[in-house]
Amino acid sequence: MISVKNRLKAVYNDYTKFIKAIDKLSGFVDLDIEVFSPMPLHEVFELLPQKPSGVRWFTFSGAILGIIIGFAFPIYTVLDWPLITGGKPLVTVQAFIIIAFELMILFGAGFTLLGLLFHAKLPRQSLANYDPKFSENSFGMIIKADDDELEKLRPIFSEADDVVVDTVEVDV
Amino acid sequence: MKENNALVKNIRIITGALIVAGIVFVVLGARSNEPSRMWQIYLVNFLLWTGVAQAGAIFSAVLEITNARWGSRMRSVAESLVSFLPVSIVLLLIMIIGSPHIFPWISKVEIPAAKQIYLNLPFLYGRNLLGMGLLTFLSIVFINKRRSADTGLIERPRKFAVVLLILYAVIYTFVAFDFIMSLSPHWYSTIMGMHFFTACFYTGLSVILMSAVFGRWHLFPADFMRDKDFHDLGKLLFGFAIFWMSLVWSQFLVIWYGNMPEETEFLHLRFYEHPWQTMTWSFIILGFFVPLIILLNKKGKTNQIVSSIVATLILLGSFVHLYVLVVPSITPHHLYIGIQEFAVSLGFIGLFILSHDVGLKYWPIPD
Amino acid sequence: MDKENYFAPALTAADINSRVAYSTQKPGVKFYLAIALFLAMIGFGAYCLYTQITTGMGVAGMNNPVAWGIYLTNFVFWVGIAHSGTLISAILFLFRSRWRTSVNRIAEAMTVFAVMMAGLFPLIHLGRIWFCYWLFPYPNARTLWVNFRSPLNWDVFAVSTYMTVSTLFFIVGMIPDMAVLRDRFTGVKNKIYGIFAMGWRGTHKQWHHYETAYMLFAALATPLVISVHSIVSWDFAMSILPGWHSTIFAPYFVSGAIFSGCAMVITILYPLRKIFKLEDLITKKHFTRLAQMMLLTSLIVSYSYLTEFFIAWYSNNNFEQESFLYRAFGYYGPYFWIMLTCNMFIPLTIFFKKIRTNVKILFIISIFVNIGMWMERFVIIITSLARDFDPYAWGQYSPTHIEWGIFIGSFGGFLLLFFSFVKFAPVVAISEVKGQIHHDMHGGDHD
Repeated sequence: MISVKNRLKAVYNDYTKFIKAIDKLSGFVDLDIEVFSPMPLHEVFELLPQKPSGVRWFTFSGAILGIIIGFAFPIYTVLDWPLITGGKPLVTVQAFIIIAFELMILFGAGFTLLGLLFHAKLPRQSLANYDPKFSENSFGMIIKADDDELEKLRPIFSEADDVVVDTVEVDV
Repeated sequence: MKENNALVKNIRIITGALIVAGIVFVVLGARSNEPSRMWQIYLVNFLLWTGVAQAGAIFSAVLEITNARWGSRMRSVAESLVSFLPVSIVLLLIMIIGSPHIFPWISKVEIPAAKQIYLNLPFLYGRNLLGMGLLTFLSIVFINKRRSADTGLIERPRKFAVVLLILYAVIYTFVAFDFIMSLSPHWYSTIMGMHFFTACFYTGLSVILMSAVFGRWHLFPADFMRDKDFHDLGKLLFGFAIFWMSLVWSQFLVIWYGNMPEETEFLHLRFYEHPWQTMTWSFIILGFFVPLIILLNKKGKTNQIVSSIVATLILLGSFVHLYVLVVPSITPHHLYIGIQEFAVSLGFIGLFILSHDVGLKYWPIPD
Repeated sequence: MDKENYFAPALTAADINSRVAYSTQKPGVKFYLAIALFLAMIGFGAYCLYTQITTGMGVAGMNNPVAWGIYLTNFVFWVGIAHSGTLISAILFLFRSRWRTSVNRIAEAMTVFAVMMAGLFPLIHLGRIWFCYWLFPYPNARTLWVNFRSPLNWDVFAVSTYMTVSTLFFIVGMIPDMAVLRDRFTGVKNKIYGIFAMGWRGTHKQWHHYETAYMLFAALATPLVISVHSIVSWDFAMSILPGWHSTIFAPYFVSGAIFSGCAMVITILYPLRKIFKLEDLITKKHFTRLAQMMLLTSLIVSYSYLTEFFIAWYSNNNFEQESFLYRAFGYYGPYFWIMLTCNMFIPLTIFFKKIRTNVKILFIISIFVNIGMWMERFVIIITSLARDFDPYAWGQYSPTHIEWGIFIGSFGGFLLLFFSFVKFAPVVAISEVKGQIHHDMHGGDHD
């Protein structure tokens, strides 16, 4: 179902004012908020706590997959065409450990990238409502709220350098 | 310092008893008809605990050089381990008596004349006493200096720390060559020195962690140690587990691949022959896989019950590691496990704890 | 973590954007002259390679017994250069060292380009370059597989993993900075940077996942750095040749690689910060830190040299002893002494604070180290092959102009890639520098 909500964008040039606003906003539960900043801000993570990122599960499964392939593939090849070289046993675990190690890193890193793209919702096409100043030295936030909520939130942004309110259609 | 007199007193009584028992068994063992059985376990313990004590000073020196502030509380614990070093010099002197039962090149194995220039008792003990004595002296001076520097009286002893670190690497390389490599007089491996001083530092870290956990629970002011300190030390321990294993692996792989008789003999005995094979695997599991799996998790690093258990297992692993390096060279076909081995080892532990206790008196934990 | 401030005082976030974007402006004549020079170098290298391909491997100086010439010296040299990039980036990130921030991007770029150059040399060395895909494990016409027991095949896996992972690390690290450039420009540039920025918006959720992913990349890259050069060292150490078969080779090569890599970073940073006016971001303190790292690795390398000599004597093994005597006093002796001077003695001067804090002298030292580390690989590879066990098979090797030409060509390729990168991409990790300055201004909860 699609419903219409208000969208409020606030831009701050001053960090102290910005973090004060975030502090006040952190009191609200279930707030649909996106905070923008040119660098990661640990104070924001503390005020708006995040679950540990799911990226690490991607990395972990990639690494495990890499280890399995790194052993299974060489073992398969030496059994497929049994050829003794260098007086070493066919299944030379010592050598395959190295292949497995490298593939663990390779797959781990590849899956980490996938995890990042998946969780950070990248790549994305549209930059609508994004302010180029967010990558320079401004901070900001976009909040989607219904009318009642908006009225309650409105006073918080009294110190913002720029506040824009429009409406947007959201999937509920 | 928290007053916990009853506990400290009990510990002193127990350690005293352990030391007495240890001395008794050292004397009995040395006078028995199998003196090398006692002296080899004596050597293993000597290397283990001297390495741990030295690692305390090295830990502090590394923090000094890297200007790291995270370990400022942990280093106070580490430094008090150094008080074992003067004791270990005495232990080294005692070992001269047992030398004929330790070093095969004295009588059992013939070595070329060229090698005798290096491998002879006066020179061996001369250089090691000089080296370890110098390190002991410098470590103590360094710790005193850095403690006065903390109060702002003198400049930070950074240059001193650099010198200490370089000497540590050089002297411990020779300790490894003399007390581990020369036990198989024909065998040689270039990585042995680096392998040994890394192992010492790694073991030292685990003992620092155990000591810090114990101190936090029973001795130190309540807010002295923080969870974050343990988290950081846990990370370091995790990193060193991997680094140490990579050195073990580098030595193993090169020798295994080359498969040259004079090199492989050493490795074959330890990796493929009973009973050393089991012990080799156990130190790999205790010293590498256990910390690798448990310390990977954040909870494993921050929960002090878990991390101190891991540290204990690492210490045990390090002991087995040194045992496997030393003992098969001296008695290749017998694994001696009896009351004598336990008594001597416990005697060393007692001596170490008692000197650690003295160290905490001499270099108290800041309030 | 140290609390030292590594930047010029009173630097604001907007300053950083403009300073970093300065390098991406329209280039001048000097830039095109430099590009022309690099293209000429590449051209010469390509001509030499063409000659080798059309005439045959005989144009290179390699023959029995020295079958590994300077192609493999160059391979190890470039892989070594490639090491400090990921090291500075990843290990220092894990140790929370603040000084990595303004040099990590350049170092990472260096890694990616150096490893590309490194990857070429084994192929050139093998001769039939058009069959390079034979290196990869696939069932070929005779259903044979590659030999997984061979250290040379480990190299294929290690170097290609290293290339992939360091490229990923490099590109992922640039996403937020590409967004900065995207937002500064309009038109075509906006579109191009937009592709690399992948629609990055800098929301707190994105930053949260980004930080975790970056940390994981660093945690994977650190053991990778160590493993790759260990494996390169095992190309030699797995054999039984005196001078190659040595257990210390892995840590010895790894520290040597980091040593040469740090030197190369200094060599490149010095002109770069002058040309692109980055003195506020890349300060003397960064050079000092790099020099200290160079000193540390130099000490480890020196330790390895001395240990090898000591053990060669201690072993009482004729072959070992002769091999090392030949290294120091034989036909290739001068190279050995150049190596020792450059890698062991000259870096010791870094102990003096006056030298450590003088950027110009550090630049000169770094050039000596680059030369010394190339010599080191040359000495290890060539002297051991020239005299193995059997005097009947002894021989000497000297590189031909074809081999030197290809080496020069690889330098041209490396520098061309690097200059193009500087012209196109943010040379300093903008968001990280901003984060650090922000952290200093507003304080923080972490120490």
